[in-house]
Amino acid sequence: MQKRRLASGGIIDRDEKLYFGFNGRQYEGYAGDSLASALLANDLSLIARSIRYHRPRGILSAGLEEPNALVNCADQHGVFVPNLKATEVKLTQGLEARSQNCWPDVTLDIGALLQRVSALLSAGFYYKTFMWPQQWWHRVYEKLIRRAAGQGRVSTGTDLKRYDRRNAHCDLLIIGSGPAGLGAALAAVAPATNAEISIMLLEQDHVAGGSTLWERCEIDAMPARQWREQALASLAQKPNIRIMCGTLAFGQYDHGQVRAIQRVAASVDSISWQIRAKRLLLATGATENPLVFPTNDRPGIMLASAVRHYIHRYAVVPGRRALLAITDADEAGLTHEALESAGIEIVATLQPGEHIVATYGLQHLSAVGVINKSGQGRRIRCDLLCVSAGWNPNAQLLAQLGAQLDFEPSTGSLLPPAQAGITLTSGACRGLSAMQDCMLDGRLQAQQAIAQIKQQTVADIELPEIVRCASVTSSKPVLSDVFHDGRGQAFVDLQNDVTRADLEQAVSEGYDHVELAKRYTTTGMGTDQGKTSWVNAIREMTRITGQESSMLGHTTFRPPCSPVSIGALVGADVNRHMAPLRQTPFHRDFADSACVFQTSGDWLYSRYFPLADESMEQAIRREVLAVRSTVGCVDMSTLGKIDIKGGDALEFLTRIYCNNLDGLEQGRLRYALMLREDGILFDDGTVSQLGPQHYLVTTTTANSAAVWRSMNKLAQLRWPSLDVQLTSVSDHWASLAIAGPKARALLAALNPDFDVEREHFPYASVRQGSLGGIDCRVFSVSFSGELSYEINVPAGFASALYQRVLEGGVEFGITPYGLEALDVLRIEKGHLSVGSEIDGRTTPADLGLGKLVSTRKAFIGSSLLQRPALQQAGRLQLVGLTATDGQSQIPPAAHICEQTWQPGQSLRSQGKMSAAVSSPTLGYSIALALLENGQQRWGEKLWAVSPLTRQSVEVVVGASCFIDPDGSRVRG
Amino acid sequence: MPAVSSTLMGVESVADLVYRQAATSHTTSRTSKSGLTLDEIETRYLWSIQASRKHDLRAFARTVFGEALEFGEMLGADSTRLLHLWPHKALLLCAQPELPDSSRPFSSMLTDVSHGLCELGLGGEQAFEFLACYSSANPVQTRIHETRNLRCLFGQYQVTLWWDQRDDIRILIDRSYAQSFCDYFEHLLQRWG
Repeated sequence: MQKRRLASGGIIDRDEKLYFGFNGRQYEGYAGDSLASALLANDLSLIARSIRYHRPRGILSAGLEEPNALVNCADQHGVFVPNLKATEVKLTQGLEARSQNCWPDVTLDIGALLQRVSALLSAGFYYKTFMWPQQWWHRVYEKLIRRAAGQGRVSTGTDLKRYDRRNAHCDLLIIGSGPAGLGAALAAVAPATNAEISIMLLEQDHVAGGSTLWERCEIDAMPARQWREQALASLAQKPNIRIMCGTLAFGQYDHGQVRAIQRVAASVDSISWQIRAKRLLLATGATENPLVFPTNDRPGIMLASAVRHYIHRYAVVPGRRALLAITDADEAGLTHEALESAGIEIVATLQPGEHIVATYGLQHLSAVGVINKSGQGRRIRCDLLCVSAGWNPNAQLLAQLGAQLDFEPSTGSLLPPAQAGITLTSGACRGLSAMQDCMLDGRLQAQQAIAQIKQQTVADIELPEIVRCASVTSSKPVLSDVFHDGRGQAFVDLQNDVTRADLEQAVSEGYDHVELAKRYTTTGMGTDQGKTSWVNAIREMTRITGQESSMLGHTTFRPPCSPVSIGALVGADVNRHMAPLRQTPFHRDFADSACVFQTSGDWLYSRYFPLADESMEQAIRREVLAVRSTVGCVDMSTLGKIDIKGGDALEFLTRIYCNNLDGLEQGRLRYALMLREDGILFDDGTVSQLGPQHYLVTTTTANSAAVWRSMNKLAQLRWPSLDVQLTSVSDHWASLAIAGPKARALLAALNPDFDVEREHFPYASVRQGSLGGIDCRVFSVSFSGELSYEINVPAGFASALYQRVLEGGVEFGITPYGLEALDVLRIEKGHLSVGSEIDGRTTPADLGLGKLVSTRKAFIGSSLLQRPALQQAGRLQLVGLTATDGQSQIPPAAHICEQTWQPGQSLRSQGKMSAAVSSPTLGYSIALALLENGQQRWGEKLWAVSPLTRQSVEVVVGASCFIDPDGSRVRG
Repeated sequence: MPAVSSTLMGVESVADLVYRQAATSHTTSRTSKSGLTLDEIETRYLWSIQASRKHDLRAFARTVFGEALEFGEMLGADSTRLLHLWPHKALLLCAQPELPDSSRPFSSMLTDVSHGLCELGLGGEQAFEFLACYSSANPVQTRIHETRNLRCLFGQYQVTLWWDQRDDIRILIDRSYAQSFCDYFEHLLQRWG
């Protein structure tokens, strides 16, 4: 039974009844209702409790600007979403909503006791309290604050909604479908010459029309609603305009980009749009400001336009006895008419000079105390107070790009310019009030926008003159009419419970700048983003500080202009689609081999290959021992590979790498180091000569993109005169390394068309040919510290190669191994890894590779490598560590200190661990570390200290190579 | 110019034939309401052509294709295409492993990248619209519409596109990303409706 529903009227579908729940009870409404209108229709006015004082709150407005009626609503998956405004929630069948910020119930809330201590909770109280006794902070205060703070509770379950993110482009983007927006759209599509102009019209409401849906005004000599229907019918015939309702434009960014969220109810719950337009036309209307008077927050106090909205659009009666407190005569007239049409008794209209000094009623307004110019007071019984202190343009989207809004004293509002950059404003958004004026203004601004668009291609098109705002004839509020004095809290910001007293206190404490006052009092920092509070806050600060409003300015507007969910912003890029994932050409074969994969940067990389019931540690140990004793195979496809050709290819490489490359012959390769401009080691890899003026460079996986970019930049910008061509072949070649004492024998078994014997295929060389019919390049190079061949084949033949290696390797005990075992092997050998030893702070000399740096040529980084800071004693240098007792596990990521560590103690760190592992080959724990003057401290005993794990292990410093220091195993 | 190997040494049986594996294991659901399909195009041969001091791309295009080629344009027909979407580089697509004799003087400019890229075919009436929604570019823009090729982001994937018809768009993507891209396509289809 909808007690407050009118028998007829409204833009609702009375044939479709909807049932919904609010705080556990069932109610009914109609299709076309918002949750707020349905609640009002069911005579429910107490919706939530305020954030700080837990004061009872009702519905103030009918749109996005709502500060009070915040609810939790369950989505179609039953997950509650907090902080939704009842005014923007579309009523749907089965909707479940709950009041927020109250316990146990909105009608009986324990938190309301805070009102009794409200004097202690003034602005900035948390900066001055909860300090004593100090021990209570963690034990008591923090726990209490965490429970009490914030607005709403987020569900910790998985978000099951389906989101999407899409792009769109258009010539003209119109935001808002009220009189100005629809007028602009009609003007934009009307001329046949505009048929090629693409137009989009966004409307955040689920139906188009804006204020034409509820205002009883006339446009073009017909009722606004009728004009709207005709306009939409006309626009529906035009193929070059796309109208999107339920789409909130929440942010404007550079280069004509607008982001918007479209609520959908099909295969996806919402779509985040990234729209690029040549011109934007804001027809976003204006927001009504409330009056500020003592206890101005009771349920039953509503904005005058909202009252008209609920009566005309939803056929809902917000009250039975109404008092009007409206500063503008036109507004008052419209509201008067609406109330009469709904049969609501108008008990009084506040006259100029009369002030509201108090309101009464426990959980709903029951009376208002008024005082006249002579000081005589009276109490007026009413259950509905219609308030209005003028209008403020919704120009947030324009201000987000830095456009300054000017405080207009005559209207008391922040006005945007007619145009800033590619964005034009129109209608109420630039200060107009009459609906006909708004429509005409939209039409003119659209013509201006179209002319500007066309002028980009046809220069001699004349731009129409931008029309100044039509003059406003009705009276506008003056400051004294907006603020009424009296006893009791007078709220400037309803959502964050900020009162006039709070603003006075902030200014008195020195926070007299708008940005400071905002943060100190939290004015405008709620989910409503100050839409109904900021203008009044500026007015109040003007009074308190005595400054001109124009000098005071406003705070910075940032997107979103109304809250959007993070899920909606992310779109479809969730879970495994959060980022693109790369697979090597061996991936499917490895997956069939029960490989355990891990992500390593962009890549899905083979981690280890467990046999039945093996733990990870067991698998890694087996793989390492297999490589050291027989032969293993590992995927090296992720390394970067760059093909370099041209007459100046060698010169190019010589300038980039610090090694001497002069003697490099065809068929040979060299381990090479690349420095940054500042002399720090950037990357390591190999340079192979494949033919005359033809080289192949390999890079680390981590730096493959960075090295590619760097080389291109050097070739194109720094040395464009060099004859060099670069081609990335990283994905073209699959690379499988076979490593171990039996590697050569296995290579021979693969039927190569070249001699693989040591004297014909020595270490650090490359052969091109075929393996059993598969074109290949084989590099004799080792990362594991064993005899090793990296076999490169075109990626499409990777599977064939892998199968042949497994088949051919059976007699040799072939064992696939992964990244974990590879890391153990390289640590045992003391080979470098990007991110561990190559950490952005080390030079070649620090890592024991100083001899590789050529002294006979200039190269990238050669100058700054000589600076004192990189040459001085005391630098961190690479060393190896072993436990002195031969048994203890060296804690990973430990620091190196002279003493053992005790909890609470401070020690000076002389270095840090870069890698640590329990070596299967050696049978004890080893580590690589960067230690001050490390290379001069071999034999010294120090401590590996890890405060995180509370471990200290005595270690002895030595060489960083633990296996095969003379390289005989590597050379086979 | 080494061709991709199509002859074998020591072939003793059909089992010894070398099999070139597809880059992805993707198959489009043919029951999708949208009618959109994504299929991996069978064996393609691709060369990256880099400009050099000795030869420029225009000279290559004139000699091999008999036409001039400007930046952003595409030449060729059927299964042979030349895409000039990088300032100093072009991509040559062929159905055969051997290049025409006229390209021999330019051999130093060419590098085989046949296995490094995967070509996918996006088909269906809504293919172009789908592409426009998920790519950062504006493919309906006049110039791109005329040149019928484009390099852009599709979601977070870098792709090269070319087409003759709007309902059959070819997508070139790095091989290592191909499977992830196909999975992402199916993921988006669920939202496309």
